[in-house]
Amino acid sequence: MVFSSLIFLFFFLPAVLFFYYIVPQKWLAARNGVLLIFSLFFYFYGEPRLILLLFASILINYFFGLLMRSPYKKIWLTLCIILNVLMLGVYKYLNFFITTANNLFGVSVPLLNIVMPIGISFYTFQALSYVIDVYRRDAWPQKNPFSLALYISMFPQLIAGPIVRYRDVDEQLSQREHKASVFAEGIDRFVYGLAKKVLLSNVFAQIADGIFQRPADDLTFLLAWFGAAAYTLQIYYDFSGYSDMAIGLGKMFGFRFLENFNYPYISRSVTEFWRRWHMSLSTWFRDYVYIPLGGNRCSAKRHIFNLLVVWGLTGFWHGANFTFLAWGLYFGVLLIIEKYTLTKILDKLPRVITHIYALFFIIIGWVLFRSDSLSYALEYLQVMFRPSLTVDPMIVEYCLRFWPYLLGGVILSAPLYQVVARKKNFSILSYPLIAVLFVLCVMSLLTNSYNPFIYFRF
Amino acid sequence: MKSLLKIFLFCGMIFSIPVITLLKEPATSSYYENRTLAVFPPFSIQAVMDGDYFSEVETYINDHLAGRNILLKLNTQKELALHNPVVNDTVISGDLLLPYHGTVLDHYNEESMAQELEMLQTLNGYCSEHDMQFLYVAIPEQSNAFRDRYPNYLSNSSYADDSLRTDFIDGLTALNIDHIQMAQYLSADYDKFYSKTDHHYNLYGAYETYLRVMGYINENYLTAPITTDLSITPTSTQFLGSRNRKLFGLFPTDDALYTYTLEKPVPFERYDNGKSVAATVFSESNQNVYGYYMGGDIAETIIRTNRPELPDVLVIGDSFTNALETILYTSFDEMRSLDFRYYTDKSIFEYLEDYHPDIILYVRDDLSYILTTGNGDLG
Repeated sequence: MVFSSLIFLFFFLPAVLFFYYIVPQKWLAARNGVLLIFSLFFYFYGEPRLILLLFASILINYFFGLLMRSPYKKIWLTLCIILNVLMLGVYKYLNFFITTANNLFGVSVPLLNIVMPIGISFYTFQALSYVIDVYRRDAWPQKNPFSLALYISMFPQLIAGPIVRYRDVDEQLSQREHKASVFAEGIDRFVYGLAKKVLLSNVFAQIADGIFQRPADDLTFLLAWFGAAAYTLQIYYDFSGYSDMAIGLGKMFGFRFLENFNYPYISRSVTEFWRRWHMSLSTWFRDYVYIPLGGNRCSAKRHIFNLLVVWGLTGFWHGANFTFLAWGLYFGVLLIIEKYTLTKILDKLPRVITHIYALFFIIIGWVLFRSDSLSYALEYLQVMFRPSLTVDPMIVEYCLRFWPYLLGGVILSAPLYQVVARKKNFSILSYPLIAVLFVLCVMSLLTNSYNPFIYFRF
Repeated sequence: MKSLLKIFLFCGMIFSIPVITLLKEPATSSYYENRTLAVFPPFSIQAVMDGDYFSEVETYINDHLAGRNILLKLNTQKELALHNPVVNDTVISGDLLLPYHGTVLDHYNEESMAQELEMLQTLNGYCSEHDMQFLYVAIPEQSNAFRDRYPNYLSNSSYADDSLRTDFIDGLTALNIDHIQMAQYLSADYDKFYSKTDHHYNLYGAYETYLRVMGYINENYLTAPITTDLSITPTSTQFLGSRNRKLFGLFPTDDALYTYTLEKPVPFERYDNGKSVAATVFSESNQNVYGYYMGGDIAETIIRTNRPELPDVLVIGDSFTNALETILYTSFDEMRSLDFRYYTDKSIFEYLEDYHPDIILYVRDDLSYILTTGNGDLG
């Protein structure tokens, strides 16, 4: 089930809100129980058979969490990490490794009939966060298995994040306030997220898909850039929209999740971009991989190695394809270059130049990310570097059909809304704005069956 | 207080819509979308575990949500107001409404074409053996007739080139199947012969087709009278063409639905699916849509004019036959019409064992040449 579906908006959400709020506030455990039951149903709706894997993940990590106070906790932690990574590896990467081995060594090992469970990358990382936090004594082991189950499977962030670290939510599981003002904030946040996804991202998806499905030799310079820019907007509004909805839903149930996006396209460097993009994933890798590897408190050689490992893993986390690996390493290399040489130069350049610089490399990165294969990505990039002024009819079509959305998408990727929202009378305007956006979303959902979430496949 | 108001409004909306959805009587079809709506799926553990059940429930909800039509109409209005050149998969080109083709295919399905030509060859052979004349009537669909009126940035066909049409007609010629390409005649004035907002020709186009078909029959097969004493006039109601219907009739147009009157009417009896019905070829209950002609698509229609000296004709085809049939019957003793999208009792060969018309007209629009279902599958 996706948030941007009618069944979620008009059946699942009212049902979970109703049963959650008819339980008195003082019975928080019962409210958690309601949330857990609905979260499991939410997952069951999308993965009826593979919900067993989610149960397995919960149970494994629950028991290992309890063992994190034993004298052999390091061994138990290692074993727990291996089990989690193994589970992720089998369901997400095994067929990729088999295909790669077949291609490399000319063998023909048959592929396994494995379907990747929705959200496995997200819930595995959350589960690991729990065990590692307990191991590090940043949190107490969760004795109540239902509370841990709720942390891992809570529907707002279960299948596409943000990745909530256990230490950030531990207390809230047992003690949180339910205020009308927070609930109302949650409504605003949810509807804005829904609008980002339905009104903007889905439109950009049509453009990007239309262009990226064409053979690279059929593209022109301007069309290739147009497609890459459309995907740049699509992935931002898709993922940040989902995160907004998750944060908004969390607020409706009294949870405060950390922010996941902070206007990444206004960045003036790649380093800044990664401080603003998918912050929960960057934080996870920083806390649980980069710092344990030694971070930057080591030799330059080791630091470069650490960065490459982290960014290789970040890329690979996104999908079992060389394109993702290349995308991760591409950013790793850029970050290393910025860290060791470029930052000082960038600091002296005018803002407009640094914005263009950052956007240029970000867009190039998204071509790697979006392409179905590395060879296609390279061919696509070649077209992007062969200037010509030929205007493909597709550009005219998309501009004429979608100009209000393109305009809105570009404008809203800058923090203009925040500026407007601070104005004195905005709170009055926010009522009709939310109502109009919500109605527009429902209208659009009824019209379009085209409604894919990019981050579901991770 | 402000927060409570917001919560009340939001929850009011998300709670009331499902309640109304569940309480209201579910519709079976959508008039504007011209399709049947999903029915609630039967529950089974297997369907749930396969994921089919929830997906069908979701389709049902999407089809039956309270206020669906109002919201879809509002959305169409919004897109028209934004001057979007493509609304609900309909291209708006001046005063014309045309279908949106999206991604263009490089090749047609050669297997389907071979299958279709083989079927026609068999039917044509059967007719020759049994002393019947078979004539294939090829009619341009409205979007093909107006293909040069598409905006130059949009594709004007589903295919990259015209080989489907030319190869099919070449195929008919190679197999010695008699055929008339109506494009040769209708192209003289597509604006006169075609609707601006419907995918069919209009009554002028149907009448031109009638004249050319009767001319061919009289020249090559047998003698039958040709009706020329008719006067065509627009009906009094606002026409809702199929493409404008997709836009909820919101596209402003002067496009008209036409009717005719005969100087000397030909009396007849009419039977639809074996039952006697009113002797009319115009459906007064469908006065604003193309279904006005012959009352829309019907599995089997028989019109008897009780003039045994005249030949009998069997017409096979989709809705393009309807407007043609409103005039065609005047030239024959008996006119039968079969629409194999709905007629399932017999195959064409079984039908022809019991019924021997003098002429069989197989009427196809050029988007349906290689369709192997419905009227493309005669058994």
